[in-house]
Amino acid sequence: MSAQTGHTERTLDQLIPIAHRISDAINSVIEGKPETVRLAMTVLLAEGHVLIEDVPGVGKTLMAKALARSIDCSVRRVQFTPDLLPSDITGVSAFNQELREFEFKPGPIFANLVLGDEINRASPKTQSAMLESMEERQVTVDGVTYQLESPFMVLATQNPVEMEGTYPLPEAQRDRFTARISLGYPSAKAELAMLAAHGSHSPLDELKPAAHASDVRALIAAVREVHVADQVRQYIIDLVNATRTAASLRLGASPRAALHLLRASRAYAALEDRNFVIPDDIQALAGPVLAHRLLPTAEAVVGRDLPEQALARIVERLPLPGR
Amino acid sequence: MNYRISVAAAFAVIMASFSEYALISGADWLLASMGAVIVVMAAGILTRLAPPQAVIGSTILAAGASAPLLADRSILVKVAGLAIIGCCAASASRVRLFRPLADIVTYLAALLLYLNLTLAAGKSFLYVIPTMASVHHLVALAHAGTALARYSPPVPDSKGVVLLAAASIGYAAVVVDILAVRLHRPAIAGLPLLVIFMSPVATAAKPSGIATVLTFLLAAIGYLALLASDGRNRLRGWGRIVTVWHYSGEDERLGGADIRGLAATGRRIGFAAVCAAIVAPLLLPTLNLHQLFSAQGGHPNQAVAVLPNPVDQLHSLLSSTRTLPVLSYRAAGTDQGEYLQVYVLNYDAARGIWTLLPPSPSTAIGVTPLSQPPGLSPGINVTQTTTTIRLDNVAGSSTGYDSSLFFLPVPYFPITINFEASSGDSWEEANDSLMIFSGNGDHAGMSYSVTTGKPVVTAAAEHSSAQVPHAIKAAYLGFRSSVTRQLTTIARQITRSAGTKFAMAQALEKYFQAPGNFTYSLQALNLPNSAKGLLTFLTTGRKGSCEQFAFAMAVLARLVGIPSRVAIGFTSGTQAHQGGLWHVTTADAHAWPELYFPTLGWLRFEPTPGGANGQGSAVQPSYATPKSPGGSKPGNNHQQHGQPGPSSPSRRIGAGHLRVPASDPLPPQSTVPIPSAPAPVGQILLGVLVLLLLLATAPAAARIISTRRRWHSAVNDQALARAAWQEICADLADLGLTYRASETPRALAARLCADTDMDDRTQAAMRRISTVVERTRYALESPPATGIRTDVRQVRRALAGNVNFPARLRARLIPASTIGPILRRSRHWFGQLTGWVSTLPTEG
Repeated sequence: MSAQTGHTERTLDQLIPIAHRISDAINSVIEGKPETVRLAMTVLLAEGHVLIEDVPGVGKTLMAKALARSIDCSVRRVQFTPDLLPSDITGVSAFNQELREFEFKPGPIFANLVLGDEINRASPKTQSAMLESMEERQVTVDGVTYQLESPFMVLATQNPVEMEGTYPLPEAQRDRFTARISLGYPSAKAELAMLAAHGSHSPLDELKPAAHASDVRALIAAVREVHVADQVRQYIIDLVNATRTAASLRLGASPRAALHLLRASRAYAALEDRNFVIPDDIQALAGPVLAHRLLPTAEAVVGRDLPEQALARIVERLPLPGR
Repeated sequence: MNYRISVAAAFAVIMASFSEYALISGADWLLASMGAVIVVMAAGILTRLAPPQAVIGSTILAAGASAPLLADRSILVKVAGLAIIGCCAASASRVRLFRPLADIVTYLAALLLYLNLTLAAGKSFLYVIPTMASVHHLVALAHAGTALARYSPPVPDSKGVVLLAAASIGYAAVVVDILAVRLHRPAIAGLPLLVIFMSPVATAAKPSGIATVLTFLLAAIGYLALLASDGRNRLRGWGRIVTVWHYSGEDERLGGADIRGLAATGRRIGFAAVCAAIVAPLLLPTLNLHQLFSAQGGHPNQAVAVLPNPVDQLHSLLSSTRTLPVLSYRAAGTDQGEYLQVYVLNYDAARGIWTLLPPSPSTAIGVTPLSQPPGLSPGINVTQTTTTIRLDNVAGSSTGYDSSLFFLPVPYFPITINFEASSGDSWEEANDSLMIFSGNGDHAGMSYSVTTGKPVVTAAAEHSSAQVPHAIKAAYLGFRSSVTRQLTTIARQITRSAGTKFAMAQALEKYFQAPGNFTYSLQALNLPNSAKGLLTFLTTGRKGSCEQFAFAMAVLARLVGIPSRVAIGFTSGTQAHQGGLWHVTTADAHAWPELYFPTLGWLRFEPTPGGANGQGSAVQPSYATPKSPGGSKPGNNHQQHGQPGPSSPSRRIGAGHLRVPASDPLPPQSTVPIPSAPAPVGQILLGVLVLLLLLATAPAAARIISTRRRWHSAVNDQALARAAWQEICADLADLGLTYRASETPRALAARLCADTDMDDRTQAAMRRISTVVERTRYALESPPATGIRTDVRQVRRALAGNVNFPARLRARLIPASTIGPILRRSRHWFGQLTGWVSTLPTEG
């Protein structure tokens, strides 16, 4: 691995402490959610995007902000509203009177971390403009293509309760998010600690960047070299195939999902100081990475059999390859 | 394409064909028939393939099978062969008529090619393509097989019989395949199956009770499997619905809706229907199910040519009140009489009775010289006698020993035979027993002369140390009964002072002939012809006819290691005057033992007392009496040496068969104690016990062996890690601790450490194992696995400590890791065959 990354780049062993520093910084703001923080970090290192879906007030935005703050990089926040236009995200070409030519004004998407708040409130047109740039990592305005900087990660939040006047993300769009994270209510103890910490001042203000964007770039490059054994690849394929044939699922996971799962598992393994992926990583990531892409059958909906449960059953029954 | 029903149809035919065991001995016919059925199944599958493959396949088969037709000189035959091939090729066209014709040709061609390959490969072109020579060979075999069908079943499985069996069962398979698979009428396919099953019933075969039930069950299982398979097939056609999200891939499980539940329901309905079908006849008063399961598979008096029952014929001759002349003869060059042998009997250990040796293989007389007597070595002198025999007419039959096969009375052993009044009948000589017989039954008034030889028994021959050939040992030493031990004790006591086998035979004859020891009585004809009857005769009854004497001596000889058989025929009869004709009557009907000695061959012995108080014309052969050094003969005034001599005319009207009154018991001179406590039961119990013990320890032994092999074959770190993990999984399965196939090494270690009672050291060992296994499997470099075996041992001990004693015992004796895969595999195969697997409880 070190041979492949070259002598000029740092090895994974040297870089992982940086990742842990970022995690620690976020954990100091979000009380009692280390697993969620780790998932967010996993998605960052896997060059993916994360969809944070939860009820209001559990700290979705705080989480995204904390992640953005803990890394010394450009951060932009977009509050999605029904009247938001695609150009409000990608940027516009405006006519410069002095130079007598059109000049591109970059939109908020041109940042390392983009926080898209309440993404389901924007019109489908705007949503798709953003999602396209997420996938392509580039923006095309007036025939000119502008590359986005690396690292580039979109943290989109979505409120599943308040559905009136919203445009829920279609399945095809949800497929572009590497993982869906749900924060959930904090434990009583964590909530008590939160009251003590956030009561007088905001810890977010005290948060100092724990790493630079170049560190994150190096981390991402190092994570790509994490070893994935054939058996583990086979396991991913088996798992994805199983979702496609499960009786209670109308739509299974896509090949893109398999790719996302592979990338995420590399990052997850790296965050655990391991330079190889084990099936445990896949099992841990199966829910966050796959569940939001699955559609239950009508019978399963009536029987309140959520895709998460179907997925858990599959993981529990699917034999490991090459035992 | 679903081949299950084709396989089920073939399976049903094979199961039904087991019932033919009563007709044919050996196993070659069964193997050949199984092959024929499989070939027919394959041909059936071929006809149901897509048109191009089916047409090409059937044309090739037809061309191969009609090769002899094409090679024929006649234009007409050639055209016929071309027409057959053309018919198959034309089945590709739209004319519908050709398809069924081509299908039938395919079946028959495949069957012919198979029979040709198995039975006439040597005469075929490239071993496969039949030629005129191979077809002629097959026809000759079929004729030979048909000729054997005259004999009482079971007939030996000569090539001819194998051909007949394979061909007929193959044709039945064709019919079954057409009915069950092509026409989807498996119920009607039961008819050809029934024909196969019933054919032993239509003959004189006598299968035993258990075997009848067994063959019935096998045939029934085959038929039910066929019905079940068809039912399953039909039901699978029901629930095929088009779904939006699943597409039909290569994997059948992905295609269509999940109809396993529906199919299982269908099977249950089918199972219930079968149960009802079995129970319903019981409720009908008109049906008598006992006949179905009765021990008598067939009636002995069926109108089928069968081998005669010599013992019954002897009974009827001896118990007849009228004495009728049978034949008269003159022996040239000697004035001594000759025993005339008609039948030779051997003991059938399977049925526990003495039966006529089947006269096959046999040689046609006139084509080749008569067979050499078995066992006689060239160095032995032989006295030759030519006897001219003329048959009288006895009650419509020639000798009284009548049957559809006529056996000629001749002295043993015949060297040449001439039929003076040639009636054009073909005579055959049985190669083994030298019996001479013909298919034509009426030979009254026939004359023939036969030159016979008798070995001169010398002291050197008596003491010969030559070994009995294995073939003779295998065929003529068997005896099996519940009283063998008592009989052996008796035989040993009689022969304890004898040094050689020949002396033993002499001692046995002397034992029967000793005055007062046994009484000749025709009333004892009804003594059961069984081993127990024999024991009664030897110990308490001591009264019998020539039949009992002959069988007793033959059995006792076998028990001291002398091969023996029983001959039935006539004594030498009586001579009217010195130098005159010898007359043999029905009263001279007789049975005597023949014992086998290396270099001498078969020698006649005479245990039956002769003279007025015995079988009148019975004489002891001279060699049967031990030659004492002093030259004095044993003082037995009943013994007659040489010829019986001119006797009073009264003897000729059956004086030899004086009805000895029952109240005339002679005290037995030498008493033989009856050994008590029948032993075989103990031995059988011991055998069963040993077998059970072996069966009980087999799984445990298999587990130990697999553990050893696992560790022994682990040469590097990777293999060690793999072996360690397999061992841990096997231990968990054995101890009944849960283990999921989806559990990773890390997860399993964590669960075991948390859930089971392990000390810190064991937990560390478990974690070490899981880490090594994990890194071996998934990391780039595998870590060293030293000491992993110790860790596994430690974990195993800790795991065993977590379950109770019965579970530990079960893990040792019936380890689930050994038995589980076998059970799963057998269930899988059973399911493959019948499709009933879903009705059985499955794991998980």
